[in-house]
Amino acid sequence: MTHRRLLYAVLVLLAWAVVLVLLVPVPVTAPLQPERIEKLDGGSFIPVLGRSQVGERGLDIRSMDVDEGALQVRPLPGVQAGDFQVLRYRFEEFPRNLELVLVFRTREHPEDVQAVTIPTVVSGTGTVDLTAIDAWRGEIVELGFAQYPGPQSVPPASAFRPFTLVEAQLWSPSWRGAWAARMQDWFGPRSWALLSLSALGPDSALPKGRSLVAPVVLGALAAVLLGVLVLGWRGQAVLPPAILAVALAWLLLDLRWLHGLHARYASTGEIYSGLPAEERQRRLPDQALYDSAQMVRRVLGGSSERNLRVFVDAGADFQRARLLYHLLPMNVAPVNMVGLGTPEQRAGAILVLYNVERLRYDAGDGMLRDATGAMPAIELFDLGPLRVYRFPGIRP
Amino acid sequence: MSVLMAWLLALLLGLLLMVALYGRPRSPAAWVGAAGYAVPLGLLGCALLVSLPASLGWRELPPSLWCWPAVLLPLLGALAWRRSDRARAVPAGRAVLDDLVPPRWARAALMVMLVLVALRALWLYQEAWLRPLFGWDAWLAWSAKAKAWLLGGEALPFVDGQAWLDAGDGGVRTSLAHDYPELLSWLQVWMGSAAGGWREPVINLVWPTLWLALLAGCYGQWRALAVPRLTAGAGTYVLASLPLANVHAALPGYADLWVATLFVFAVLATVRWRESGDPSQLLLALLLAALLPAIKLEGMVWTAGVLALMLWFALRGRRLLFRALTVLAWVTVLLLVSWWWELAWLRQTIELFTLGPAGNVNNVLTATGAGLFTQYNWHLLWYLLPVVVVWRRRAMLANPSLLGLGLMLAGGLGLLLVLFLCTQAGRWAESFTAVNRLVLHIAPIAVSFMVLLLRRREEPAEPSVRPA
Repeated sequence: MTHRRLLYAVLVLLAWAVVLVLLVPVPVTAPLQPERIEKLDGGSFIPVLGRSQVGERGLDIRSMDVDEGALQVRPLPGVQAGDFQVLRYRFEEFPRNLELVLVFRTREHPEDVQAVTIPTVVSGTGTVDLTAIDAWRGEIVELGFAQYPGPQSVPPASAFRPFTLVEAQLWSPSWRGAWAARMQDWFGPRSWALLSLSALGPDSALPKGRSLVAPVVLGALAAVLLGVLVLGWRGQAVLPPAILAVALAWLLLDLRWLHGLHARYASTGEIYSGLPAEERQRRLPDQALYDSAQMVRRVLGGSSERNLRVFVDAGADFQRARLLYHLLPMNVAPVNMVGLGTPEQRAGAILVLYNVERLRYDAGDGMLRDATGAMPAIELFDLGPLRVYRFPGIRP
Repeated sequence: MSVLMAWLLALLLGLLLMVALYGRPRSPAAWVGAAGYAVPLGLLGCALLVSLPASLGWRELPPSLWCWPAVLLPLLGALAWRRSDRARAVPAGRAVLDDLVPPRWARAALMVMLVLVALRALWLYQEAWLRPLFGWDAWLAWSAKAKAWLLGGEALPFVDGQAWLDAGDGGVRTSLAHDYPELLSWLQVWMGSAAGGWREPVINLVWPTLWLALLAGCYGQWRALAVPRLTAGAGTYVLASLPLANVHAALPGYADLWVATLFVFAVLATVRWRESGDPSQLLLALLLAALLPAIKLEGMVWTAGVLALMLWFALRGRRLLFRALTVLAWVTVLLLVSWWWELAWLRQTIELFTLGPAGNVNNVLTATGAGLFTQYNWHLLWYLLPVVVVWRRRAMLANPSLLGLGLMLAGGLGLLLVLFLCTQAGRWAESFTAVNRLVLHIAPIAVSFMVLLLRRREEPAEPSVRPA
């Protein structure tokens, strides 16, 4: 019986190894260690956006650019994409709320800058499987990293902390590199996104990896089936090991999720922890829209008079919906739903536009024009993306 | 301080309602269950009460709004007092899991699971407390109405775009979600009034509390349905660890966790009524089912499901065909009534169906399958469900309440599949924006179904009764 148990243990480990091997994106014949490593010191990267300087450990990124981003690139001496399967990168004290993006350019399409979100690592080494990136082909002539606050989820002004780009390495295909990339894909931290409320997995902008759920199921199934075949589990005897296998599989997935949940919470804490509730409520990912709403409110004399009706439109659904929310309790309506009504219906009403190109104002004749026609309006102010008008007339 | 008072008021109202319906809980598990049910009942009771004047045309919202529900305290207190001396009994039970695991290991396993739940609860509360309102539908639908009413000090009705344009006096408001049910918005108004204004962090705490209530309510009902401690504890951990439910507690504002909670609470009360014959559970189930359409439009569909389950149970002993036809007739009546009253849920459903399928069948099935089986939304829930059903099929077939529950669950899943395959909702499946949120509505029922299938108990539920 001891021999059978030993055989069972070996077979289970073998089955798990087969499952994992199938999921690791590397040819079976690949070497254990990478044969070629292209080392790119942090100090060799050139800051393009943001303020940086070469420090003792690498390139110290001190601030982001006014458009809230930072970019560091360096030329490559004609690296063939196919020769390298894995990118390893090391940062120190990388801010949790910045998205990390790999940027590169190829000799074949020098005008196209490819940008791919890759997993962030606060301090330590990150690994990404380059074969999961469609554009990673041809001859790479330039490579770099960009950082910017997570869109729609992170207040831009709070996201940045100084950090250091220590180094990056390109690895030729190897088991070690492929395994590290798979582990990073499965257990690396993720950030909240609007889609997180609907689907976990697709809510990340990272290159599409392979789910951990299916291999965990296969691993548990293999353990039970091999028990039936090798150890002769029958009837009620299957139950305890099967329940144990399911429990361990569930626990593994749950610990992975808890690890991720804690990382998400830590990101939130980095921005909001220690702030009073009122301040937290004002520190928003769409700060520009919030400020715009405050500006509209000030111009209209802080009026939340219900009779003052406000049409709101924006260049994107997100901007329109958020502007509507920030303008409350004004009596607001989305233009994509109500339109602009007849001249009588909109008489005396306000029109707030944010990043709307289709409506242009001609100060000469005081008309707002779009492709379908024109309507008289009085410009209250024009601050670039934010424009506010009043429709003439008095509502009967 | 008033926030704390508001919370105490809601919990007290909920608990008094539970005691008034069911009597004073006599065991720790029963207390846990009652507390779980008390949270949504108390909170939604407060929301209902503060919404009443507006529905009668009195639209002013005074700052003291939050303490209005206190008027219910004497009434519920009196009713609870009348019921408090009723002795209750809970059937002793056995389950596969408890029979397998030695008590020492069971205690250790329960402790580990409790720690994992507690740790999660801590992070969920902190996330909800720290981060301002985050979810798209939260600030587009429910919170937008609440914020407008609370800050405007006036509960103006929300109407469609044309009515808003036509209204001359500014006495109406509009939004894309103008016809969404408003009870959750009223809950936010009530909580906001206790906080002294539109305080998102304070209002957000309702959601992780609801998540805890879901766990407590299910645990209590499972125990009352003769599920022993380890199985009920494991079921609670499974429910607590479902990632998508965690997300809805951490990022507050969506209605789906509410629908999921009320739906499973109503279904469990129905099953308990079926198994114990206790009419107070039927009353409780009816009350919870009645609240579902006030939360979200699709709540009406789930209400129909709960009522169909009640009918199915009520007709036990009749021929299968008769029971099936009666349930179908009931659904038809519900559709006719909804059509007659021009209810929004039916209008939207008809719109979805008349526009025809929107997604490619392959893509819809792939996306739905990915949502259930390969994304990180449900751990192993949807793998385990068919396995447990096949394994415990005899227990299921021998117990009419489990069979009814299984039929309802299968009907719910089938309905979602039809919705995605045959209507414009296919696009939501393909884009992953709704498929899992709708599945969340029935996920706690799936967990409950598996927990109840693990029981070792024969029909009827009368044997070995011990005082709880």
